[in-house]
Amino acid sequence: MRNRLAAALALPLSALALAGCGLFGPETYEVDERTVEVDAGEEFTLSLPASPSMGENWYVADPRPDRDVVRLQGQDEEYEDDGGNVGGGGGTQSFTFRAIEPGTTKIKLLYCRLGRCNAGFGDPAPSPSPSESPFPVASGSPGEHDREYFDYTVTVR
Amino acid sequence: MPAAGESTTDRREKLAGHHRAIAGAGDKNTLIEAIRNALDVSAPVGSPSTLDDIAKRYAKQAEAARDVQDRVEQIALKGLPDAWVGSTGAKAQEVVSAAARSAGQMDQAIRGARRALILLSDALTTAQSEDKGGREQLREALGMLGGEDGFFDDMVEKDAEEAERLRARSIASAGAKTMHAAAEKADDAAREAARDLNKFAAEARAGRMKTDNISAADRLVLADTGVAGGPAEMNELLTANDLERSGKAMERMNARDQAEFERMLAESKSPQERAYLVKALAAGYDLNEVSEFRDKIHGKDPAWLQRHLTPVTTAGDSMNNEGLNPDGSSVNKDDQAFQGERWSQDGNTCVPSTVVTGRAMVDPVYALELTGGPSGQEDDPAAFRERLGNEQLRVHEEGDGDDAYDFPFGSTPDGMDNDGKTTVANKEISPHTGSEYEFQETRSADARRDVLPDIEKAVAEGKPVPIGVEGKDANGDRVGHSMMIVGQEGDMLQVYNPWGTTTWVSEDDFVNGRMGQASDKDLPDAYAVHLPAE
Repeated sequence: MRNRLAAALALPLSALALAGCGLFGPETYEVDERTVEVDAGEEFTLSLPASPSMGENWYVADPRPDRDVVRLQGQDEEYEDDGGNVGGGGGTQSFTFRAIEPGTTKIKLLYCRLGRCNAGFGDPAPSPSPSESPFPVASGSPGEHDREYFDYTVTVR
Repeated sequence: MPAAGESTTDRREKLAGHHRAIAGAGDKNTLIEAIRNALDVSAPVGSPSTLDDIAKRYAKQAEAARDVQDRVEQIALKGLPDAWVGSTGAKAQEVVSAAARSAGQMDQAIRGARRALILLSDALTTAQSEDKGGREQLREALGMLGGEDGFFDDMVEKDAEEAERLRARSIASAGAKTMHAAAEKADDAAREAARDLNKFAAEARAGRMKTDNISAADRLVLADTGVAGGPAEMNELLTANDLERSGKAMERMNARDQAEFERMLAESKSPQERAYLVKALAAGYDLNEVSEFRDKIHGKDPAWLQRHLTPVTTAGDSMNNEGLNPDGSSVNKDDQAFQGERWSQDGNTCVPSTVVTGRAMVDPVYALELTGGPSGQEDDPAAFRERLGNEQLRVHEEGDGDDAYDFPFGSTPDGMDNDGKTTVANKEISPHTGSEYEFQETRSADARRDVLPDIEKAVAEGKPVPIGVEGKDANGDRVGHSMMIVGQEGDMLQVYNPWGTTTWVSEDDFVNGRMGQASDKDLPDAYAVHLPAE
């Protein structure tokens, strides 16, 4: 059995190093940091776990954030190499925003796993069809439901 | 001399290489050697006239099968008494309907085989003719070049000599290209014919059950029984392998067990119940175990039986091409679910989840444990989900899967290597199909093309084929995933994804790295398969 303890320790450490410090580019917020405070003119990144073998994907959902407060600058997807394994590893999907003017807005992200959303990366997030019950809003980590919303509150100073 | 035992795929690969070598040859001796290498590859093997003769005989046999079908259908139309005619309780009407369908399938199979042979014959004639033309060009080029240069000859090349060499290279390159195109035609045609003939052979199903313990009428009905919830011809309850294995198991029974099994079959309340008992026997269970299983399913309606015992069903419209979603997946996907709860992975357990579903497809006793619980009578999707998740974890441990440690305590599954996948496929699926799995890498289009006939044969007989798919991000970091080929029709493969769905992809897509249709754009390449041995 391959011990992934080192990787498990490295992740929180790197999160500590990057989150909120802004030393190496935009401030980065992990999935459990859903309150964002930034100065106008700064960029920040929402970094989200997205394992390709689990069919995990994230989308910016409606209602979109107030364009006078924040604007989406770009998005990226990186895998965590699984070393030739099957179904392990993981990946990260990230959305980078620029803070425009002081104010408060919400960024609504839709998380999907096991390929339950069928949309393209960066496409508008799918909404529940009339026959479906509304997707729940997550309070914890992703994965409790196949489809769930994550609400971020952004305050631009 | 041509190498002995060259396959059509070998020829195709070799000629592709020799064509490149000829086109890139920078001096006379290299060019001569490359031309000789191309000429050493054998011409397309086979006799079109023999194939045509067989096809003609098939045409006559198809007429006879059609006549049988017409006559049996007449009997079916006239109506039959509600009498039991088989030793295991098959009704007269069921037997006649099965016989009519069987004769119809035979007619189609013979006509299909005839068509496959004619197409192969035509393709072979064309390929042999083109190959001959290509060879003539190569020989012409060799004649222009003359003998190989000696050491001193090679030091200076006059303008006229160079022009002649380049002209010879151009002719040889065209010849090798023609030979390669002919090899591609012969290879594609041979594979297509093999695929169709294998499928037709597997569909001659009733004959696979070689036992005298039950009547021919009963065997016919068993082979014809479909799972509820989809078209019968796409959802045959007993696979060719099931029929063969159950026939052998019946032959091994003593007289008392034979009588007991026949009684169970005769008391079945539906053809499906009867066929599931045979499937349990085919999965390797002894009579006591089959008897316990029978007590749990006796008298259940066909929809209950399908839901509890057959994880994957094929919808009639599942092969329609409805295009792609923006994420690269096929629009036309079917959820495979028990009471709305999908047969899907809970965590990073795609390998165990693939194998658990694979076993449930071939082993109805195991499927019932997962769906119906210890009593076999439960119909609760939440309890099914819990049992399925626990079973995926058990198989994850069995395959010595990797774990990610959750800080500060605990761990969750984090994938499995291909050795582990081989181990769990052999421990979970093989005992119930009789075929051990072997791992085979398929990291090129040629390798995937080469393995297709083995995949087609395996799934036509009812043995699922686990596969590995992979993709890379912009930095070259790689992720892998596990899926399974569970069906084949024409040039299409039905793929189970442990995300809880099945999707049809074309063989061309399988070969050329477009497997994202069965998952999404992140996982395009089928890099490996686990093939069941003969």
